Amino acid sequence: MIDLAAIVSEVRQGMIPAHVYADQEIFAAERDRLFARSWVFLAHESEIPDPGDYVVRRVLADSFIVARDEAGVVRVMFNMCLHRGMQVCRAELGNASHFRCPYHAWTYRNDGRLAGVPFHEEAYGGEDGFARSGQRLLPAPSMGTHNGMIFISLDPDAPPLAGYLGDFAFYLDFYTRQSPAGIELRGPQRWRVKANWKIGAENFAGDSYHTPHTHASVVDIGLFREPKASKRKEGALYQAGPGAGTTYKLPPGGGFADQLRYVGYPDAMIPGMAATWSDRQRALVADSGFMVSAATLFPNLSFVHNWPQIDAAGTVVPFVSLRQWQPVSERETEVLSWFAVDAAAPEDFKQRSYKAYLMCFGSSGMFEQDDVENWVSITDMAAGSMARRLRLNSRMGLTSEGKPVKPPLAAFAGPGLAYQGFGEYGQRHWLALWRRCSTRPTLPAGWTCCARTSAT
Amino acid sequence: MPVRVTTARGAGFDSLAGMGHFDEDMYALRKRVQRLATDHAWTEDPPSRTRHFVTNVRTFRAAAGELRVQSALLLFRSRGDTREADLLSAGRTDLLRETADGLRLARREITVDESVLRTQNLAVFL
Repeated sequence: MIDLAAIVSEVRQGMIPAHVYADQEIFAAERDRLFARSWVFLAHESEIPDPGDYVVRRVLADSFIVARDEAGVVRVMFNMCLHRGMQVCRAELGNASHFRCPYHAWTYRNDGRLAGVPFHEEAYGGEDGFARSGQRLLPAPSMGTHNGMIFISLDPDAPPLAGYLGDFAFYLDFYTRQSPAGIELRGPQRWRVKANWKIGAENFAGDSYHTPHTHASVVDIGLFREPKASKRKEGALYQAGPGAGTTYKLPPGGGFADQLRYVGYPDAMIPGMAATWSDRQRALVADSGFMVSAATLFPNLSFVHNWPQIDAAGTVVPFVSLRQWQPVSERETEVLSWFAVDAAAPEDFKQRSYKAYLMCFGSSGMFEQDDVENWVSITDMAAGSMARRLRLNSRMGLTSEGKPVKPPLAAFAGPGLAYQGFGEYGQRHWLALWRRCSTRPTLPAGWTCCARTSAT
Repeated sequence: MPVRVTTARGAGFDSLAGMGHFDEDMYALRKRVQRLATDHAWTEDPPSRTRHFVTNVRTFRAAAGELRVQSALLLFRSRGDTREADLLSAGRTDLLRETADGLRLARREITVDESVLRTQNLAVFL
C-alpha cells in the first residue's frame, strides 16, 4: 500500500519519489481522483465544422462521441448504448445524422436522442412499456468550450471551465486565437509510447533546461537561426492558474509587428493578432519581449510554438501544435498531436507552417524523437525497487530554504509569476496541482444513470 | 505518409486530409539524415536494429524512363536489450527514375496499416 500523504509531502519539498512514474496504485488514484474530476480536452470545433460531423475521443478508458448536431450545436455523448452497452460509434471520425448500435439497432440522433428501437411495439409494448422520448446517450457530465477547444469533466459539479482556466486563458490566446477567425486543427497523429503520461506534461510546463542537450542535434544541423542554448536560458518561465509554460526572449528593440515578423509571421497575419490580443497580451511581445513556446494546461494538454528554418534559403516559419498525453496505463501513454494554424492565415503560410511542424514535432518530429527516448527510459527505470528509494531533485531555482534563487520578473506583462533563466518553477507548479488533485475525494458514490431515469 | 484513420465502410476515406506522419521534400529529408549523423541524435544512439521485409513487389510501366513499384513492407525495430520490439506494417508506392547512375527513387507514398502507431517515434525510414 502506498503512503500518498508521504509522497505528497515529498513532492511539496520539490523531491519526487521516482516510482510515481510507474506505479499502479498512483495510476489508480490519478484515474479516480484526478481524471474523474478534472477538465480534460477532447477536440476542437474546427474538427467538426458541419452538421453531422463527429470525432470519437477518450478520457482514459471512456469513449465519447463529439458531434455537431443538425442545429449546429456541439454535443459530447458517452459512446455506450443504453441497452446492452455496445460501443455505438466505432469509427474515429465521419459525418452521420444517426448512430445505430450494431447489436440490436437501437438508433440515436446525432444530438444523442434515442430515435429508434426495433420491434418497439412487439418487444416493449410500445411507449407504455418503454418510453423512447427523453432517452438519450449519456451526455458528458460537464462540458465547456474556450477558443473552440471542447473540454469535458466527468464530474457533474465541476467548476465552470472559464473559472478553471483563470489566468492561463491569457496565454492560451497566443496559441489558439491569432485572429477573430480562431484556429483550425489538423490531425491528430496518434502513437503509443511506453512512458508515464506525467513526464511529457511536466516537460512542456517548464523544462527549458533540457533543450540545449536533449535537442543539441537540431542545433547541430542548423534547423534554427539562433544558437539554441543561450536563446533558451534568457527566456521567461511563467505559471498562471492551471498552467505553466516557457518563452523565448526576442531580440531587443523590436515593436509588436517587428517581433512577429522576426518569428516568421507574414504581414497579412499581423493585423489579426493586433486586433485580437489585448493591450497586455501585445505588451508581452512588444514591451516584455517574450514569445510563448512550450506550455501545459493541467492535467494533460500541452502546446508548443517554435520557428525553424524550413528551407535551404533559411526561411523562418512558425508553427503551433496542441498535444495530449492520454494515459493508457502507468507505463504507457497515447500521444495525440495536432497541427494548429490561424484559420484566416494565407494558404501558403498554412502549408509552410505545416511543414515546420512536421519537421520538429509529432510522430516523426526531430525534437519530439529525442524527448520520447528520455521519457520511455525514465518510466523503465521508475518501475524497479531501487526507484522506491530515490527522490528525484526537482528543486532547480530554489535555495535550500525554499526561496526562489532570483526574484520574479518585474517587467513581465502577463499574469501569474514569471522567472527568467533556468528553473523547475513550472514543473513544481504542475506537480502542486497534481498533488492536490490526486488526493482529493473521488466522485460521490450513488451517482448513476440508466435509460429510464437519465432524461434531460 | 498520411495518417490513417478508422472510418465507416461507406465514408469514402480512410486517411486524414492534410496530415501525415511524413510529408517530405529534399530539404527535410537531408536534415533528417544529417541529424542522425550528429553525435546528439539520442533516440538512435544506441541505434535501433531494424529489418525491412519487402514483399509482394509489383512493377508497372510509368512515363518514359520511369517505373511505378508497389510493395508491402514490414519493419521490425528492436531498441535496447529489454524492450519489446516494434512492428510497422505498410504498403509503398514508389516512383523510380532511370538516371546515368541507375534507378533512383523519385517519390514514395507510404500507406501505414495502423491508425495509432505502436512505436515511440519515426526516427527510422519506411
